[in-house]
Amino acid sequence: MNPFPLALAGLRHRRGTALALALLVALGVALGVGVGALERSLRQGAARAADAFPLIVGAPGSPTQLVLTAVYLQPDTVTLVPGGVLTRLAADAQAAWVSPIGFGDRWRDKPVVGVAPEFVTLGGRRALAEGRVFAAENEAVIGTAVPLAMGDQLIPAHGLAHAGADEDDADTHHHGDSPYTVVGRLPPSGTPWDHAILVPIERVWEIHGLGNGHAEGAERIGPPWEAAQGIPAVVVQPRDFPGAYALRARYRDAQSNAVFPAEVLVSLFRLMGDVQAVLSAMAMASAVLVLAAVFLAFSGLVAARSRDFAVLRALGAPWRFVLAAVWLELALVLLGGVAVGLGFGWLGGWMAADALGRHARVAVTVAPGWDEVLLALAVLVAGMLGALLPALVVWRRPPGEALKR
Amino acid sequence: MLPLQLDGVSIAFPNPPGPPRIILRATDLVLPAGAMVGLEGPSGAGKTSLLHALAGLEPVAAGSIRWGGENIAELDGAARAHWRRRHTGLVFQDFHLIEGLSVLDNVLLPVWFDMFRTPRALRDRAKALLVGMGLPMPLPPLAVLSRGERQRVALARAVLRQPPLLLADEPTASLDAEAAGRIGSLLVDMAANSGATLIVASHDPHLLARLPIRLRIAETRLERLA
Amino acid sequence: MAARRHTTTRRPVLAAAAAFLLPPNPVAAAERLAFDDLYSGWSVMGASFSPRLLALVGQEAALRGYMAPPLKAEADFFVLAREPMALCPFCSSDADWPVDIVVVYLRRQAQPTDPGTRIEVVGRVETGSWTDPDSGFVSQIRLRDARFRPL
Ligand SMILES: Nc1ncnc2c1ncn2[C@@H]1O[C@H](COP(=O)(O)OP(=O)(O)OP(=O)(O)O)[C@@H](O)[C@H]1O
Ligand SMILES: [Mg+2]
Repeated sequence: MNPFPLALAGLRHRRGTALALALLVALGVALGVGVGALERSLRQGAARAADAFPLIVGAPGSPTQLVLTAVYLQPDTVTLVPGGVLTRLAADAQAAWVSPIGFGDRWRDKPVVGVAPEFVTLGGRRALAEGRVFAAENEAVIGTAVPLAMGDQLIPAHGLAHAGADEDDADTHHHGDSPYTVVGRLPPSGTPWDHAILVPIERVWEIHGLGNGHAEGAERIGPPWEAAQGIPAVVVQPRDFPGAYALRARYRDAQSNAVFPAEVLVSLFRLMGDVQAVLSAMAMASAVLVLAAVFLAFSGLVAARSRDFAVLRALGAPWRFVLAAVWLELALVLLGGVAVGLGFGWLGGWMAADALGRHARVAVTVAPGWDEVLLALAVLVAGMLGALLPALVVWRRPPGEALKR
Repeated sequence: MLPLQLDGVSIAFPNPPGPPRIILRATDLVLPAGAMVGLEGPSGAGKTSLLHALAGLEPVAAGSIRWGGENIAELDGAARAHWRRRHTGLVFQDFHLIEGLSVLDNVLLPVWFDMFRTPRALRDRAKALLVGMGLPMPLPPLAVLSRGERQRVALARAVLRQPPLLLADEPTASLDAEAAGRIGSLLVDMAANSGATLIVASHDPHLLARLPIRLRIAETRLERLA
Repeated sequence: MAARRHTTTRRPVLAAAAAFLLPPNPVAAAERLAFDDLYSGWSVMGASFSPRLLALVGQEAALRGYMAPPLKAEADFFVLAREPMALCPFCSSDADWPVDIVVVYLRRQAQPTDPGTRIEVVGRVETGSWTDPDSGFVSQIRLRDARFRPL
């Protein structure tokens, strides 16, 4: 038995209707898929950006604020955490490495951030894409999105108020006669840090007239900082799991606040998840409506072809052939619609995610996920089971009547 | 090639709110295998209904229809479909070709009921039939065929698998005299060549004149004309 | 990286579809383990695993406790602790944090539960010092291919 030519003939003969139906299914599926994929990819993008920051210690205050400024480099005025906290952290046995996050300066629209060498390599877990880690106070390591080459020099401007201002603008307060030389480049991370310029924290303190954080006369970079100055935040890599929780507990006091960025993200995601649940339910409802509409339209299509099916039966087609032909026609429309909808949904999700991600400088990649495949499969299975109904109706009518018409 | 025996066959249609409308009343009939039969009668007399009953397309109100000993009146729908597939070739008044399928595929359609792949031999035979019936080559799309051409495609479909029983419902209606003559000859020749039993319902005197056995339905009675 | 993830609370329809397509979890077969069963003693060298724990290595075991605050978002692991972690701002001190924690690697990524919710985790027992290549964290006792449910 071969019902394919017949099903295809039906589709070909009414290709306008079939195409419109498939498109309707595609849109219904795309809506559900797009919403799901967008939410998931935003979550993954945001989570990936926090990977380099196991524990963040900042001044007491809002953990969300701390994470937004330190992890996502969203400019905002922050209270400094006292230098003593950094000194203590650097000496803490449960910390594998610590690094200050000293932002505030800019070069064009790229933030210049003072850090420790350990942060550049994430304690040895991150290899540079090019060059080496800074070894002197006037050296810099740049993110992939910074338009500079090895050996280039840059002079940062001070202050967030002038972000984006022309470099030669008279108002811009240059930290003159203190150029940095680019000596290394970070691999792409898909995070706002791709736009950052990393320099030794010692130099940042010095430029602001705070000394270099080390004992008088010492010229090295990196911990320990005997005379550490205030900084916006400290990133800490704990040695082990108990250490992570111990550090988090120990640095929550009057002077500082310690948070896992993941904690903040998870509570944000939970909020996002609630919104997403509503959207998801709406998408689901639209998929059901679309299926119902397609179903009605198809019943009409089957009625219009009832003579064809009567002919089949008059010619002696077995019931499974007629059933298969009717069912296959609807199944092909659904399959096409669902497949295209899956593609549309991912594409739409990707475009929306890209636009949002570009704004936050977080690379958001929408990868096909099982959730959406499941949604599409659910629609497909529901539709294909539903498609049996018109097929059965066709068989129940005696063929003679339709032939006489 | 199949002999036919009708015993007490009645055909009736429900006619609410009144009693069922009787089309054919307790009819007996015996036809030998290979008979060539013309069925006539005024419009609305029940020719199509009788042909459908003979093909098992519609149930009868009473009686038995035996083709070579098998009573198709008591088979269920699936068994009747199976029987039709094995034994009958049907030509409808309105051709009933499937739009969207090519001309050749319309002829091959019954093959797909049983097989996934169309055997070469059947494909060649379908082409040969269409060529023999004078369809233009290469075959044009179905949508542009004239009524006469369509009727020939329907005929090719009916005879493709050389059924022992050929039933044709007004095969020459709405054709011009020349086309009607050609279709009539084809039908009679096909049946004669394969030895199939042929029953043709028609108003066409030329066609009816070529058939040795003449039946007439009138006033719910089936009578044999001399 | 298309993470396979199934949320159990947020998308009931999908979850139902998933339940339809996936076999049920064989939770019933696992042996119950308690936090007190994990270590047999503490010495200068550190803690030593209990014979009962060592006997279960490679097998499925069930353990009840609380999910500690997440160290990574969108991660397939979490830390299971004996007590709920520092919900009370007055008792959050260094000493409160016990070392006998178990790291749970989930079979499928899931949304973290509330830190105050007691959960039961079932997974394959694994022991010994091991550094997670993704997070850089060292752990001693792990449950692999794990599933959990709130109690
Ligand atoms: N399914 C049906 N239900 C009710 N009445 C029917 C049905 N089929 C046919 N009839 C009636 O039975 C009568 C016979 O119809 P049929 O089509 O068999 O006539 P016919 O002899 O083929 O006519 P024609 O020469 O016009 O084709 C008609 O009056 C028709 O209205
Ligand atoms: Mg008729």
